[in-house]
Amino acid sequence: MIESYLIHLLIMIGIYLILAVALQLAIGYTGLMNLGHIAFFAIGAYVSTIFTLSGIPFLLAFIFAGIIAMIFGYALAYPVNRLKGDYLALATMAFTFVIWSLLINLKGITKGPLGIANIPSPSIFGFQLISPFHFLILVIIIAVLTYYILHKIVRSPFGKVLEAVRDQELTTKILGKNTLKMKSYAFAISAFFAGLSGSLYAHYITYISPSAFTILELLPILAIVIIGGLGSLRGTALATVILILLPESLRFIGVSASFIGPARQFVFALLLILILIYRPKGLMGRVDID
Amino acid sequence: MLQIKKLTKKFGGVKAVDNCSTSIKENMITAIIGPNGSGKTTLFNLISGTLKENNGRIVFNGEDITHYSPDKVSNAGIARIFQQSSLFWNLTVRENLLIAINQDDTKFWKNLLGLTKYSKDQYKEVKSALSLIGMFEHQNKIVKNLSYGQQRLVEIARSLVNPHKLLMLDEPVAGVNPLIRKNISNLLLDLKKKGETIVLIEHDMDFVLNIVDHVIVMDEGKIIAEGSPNKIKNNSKVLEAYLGD
Repeated sequence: MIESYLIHLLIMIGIYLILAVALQLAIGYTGLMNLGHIAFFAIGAYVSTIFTLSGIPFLLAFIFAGIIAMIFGYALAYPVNRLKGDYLALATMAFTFVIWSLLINLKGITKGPLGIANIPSPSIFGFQLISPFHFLILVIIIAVLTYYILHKIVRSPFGKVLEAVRDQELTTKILGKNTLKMKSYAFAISAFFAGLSGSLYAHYITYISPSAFTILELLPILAIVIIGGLGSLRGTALATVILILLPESLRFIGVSASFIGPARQFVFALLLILILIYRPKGLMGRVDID
Repeated sequence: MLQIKKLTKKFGGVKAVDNCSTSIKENMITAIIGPNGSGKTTLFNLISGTLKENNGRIVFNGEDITHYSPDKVSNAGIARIFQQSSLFWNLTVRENLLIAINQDDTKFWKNLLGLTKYSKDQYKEVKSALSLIGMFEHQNKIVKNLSYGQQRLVEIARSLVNPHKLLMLDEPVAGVNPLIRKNISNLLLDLKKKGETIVLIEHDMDFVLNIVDHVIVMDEGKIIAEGSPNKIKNNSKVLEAYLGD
């Protein structure tokens, strides 16, 4: 019992880690206040679900979940290119509403508000990942790979240009860099990994509906990025563990199950406010929140 | 090297740059001077592509760069610094310069596959630029923690390592202490000896007249005089417009 509970927590930490480090690339490293991240997560979840239910092998569906989310991310970068700060946040938030609305209304594909149930567990090269432990191994592999690739990107000269765009976009242009292209790449990479985590989420929970991808679901991911600290992948990883585990402690102090959901949101919001007031750089951040 | 032909820029009813024509010659330091609001920085912004002109043309080494975006202007060979410090605040001194020097760093796949790394030559060039401005020992400091004068020096060094044929400096010594001002003055003279072509905007007349070869004077968006520093010093129009005599 305890073992399966721990495995569940580790899987959720892995899925959220992928989502959060991907968002960190956009917000912390490139300065793009992207509130559309949950939409890419949703796109990944639905693409992977619809593909596997159509008989496409999981591995292919999983990759397509990332690629299609990435295409949406790349495409979103162009109309919002000239927007900054609050305006960019609003435009990307609107994107979340557009995707959410499509999930509700494209009933022929998404089954609307009822959602899609009985999502098959992943099968890789004929090996069915039925037990949560097997799924955990898959999540760990993807999470470690995601972290490694993003770490490699942010440490490369390419990553330094992303940081330059965050600090001084006009100066970056003056030094000969195409900043639109750089921002599009950042959006696309971030969306790709959000799509992959959406796929993992769908195949783990085995049921998805639009209610799992509302703007409210962005709060914990945003909280992780800000509490971890802008421009820090290590901080993001640490904050993911803390923010997934902290609300779980409520279970052990006798709080009723129906209260835990709202209480989680409360804990995230409270932590976010405290960090913004007392430690604006987050746990390990290098950049002030502007 | 750079020809400006009948360039005009209007902001509403105000002509910030009004039918200006001039040229910048190679291996010289040229200063653009004039009272506040005379259109000097607007002219710089037009050349570097951060503003779009209403009329006229800008030709650089035979290439019409009038409609180029800032990154294309830079890639054509024009480097500049702004009036206000615009460093990458959360990066180190060395990283600020490495971004300027490396032109392969925007290639995504090459970077992802680890094929783009700063080369030994690039590190060497950065080291030599930092040594030139006396900032080598500060190379690992985050630039926002430097003094204003040091930040200006880093900006100049960054524009130097950015591949260029023409260097445009907007008020490089404004607000810096006399020692750093002297260092920048010596640095610019050294650069001229090495064959650099520099255009600068500056209000400090002593600084300008001691180091430049050619002066362009602007007032109310127009070029009212140009020539050698000695000729400009005694020009009645300049005295009237700029010195208020």
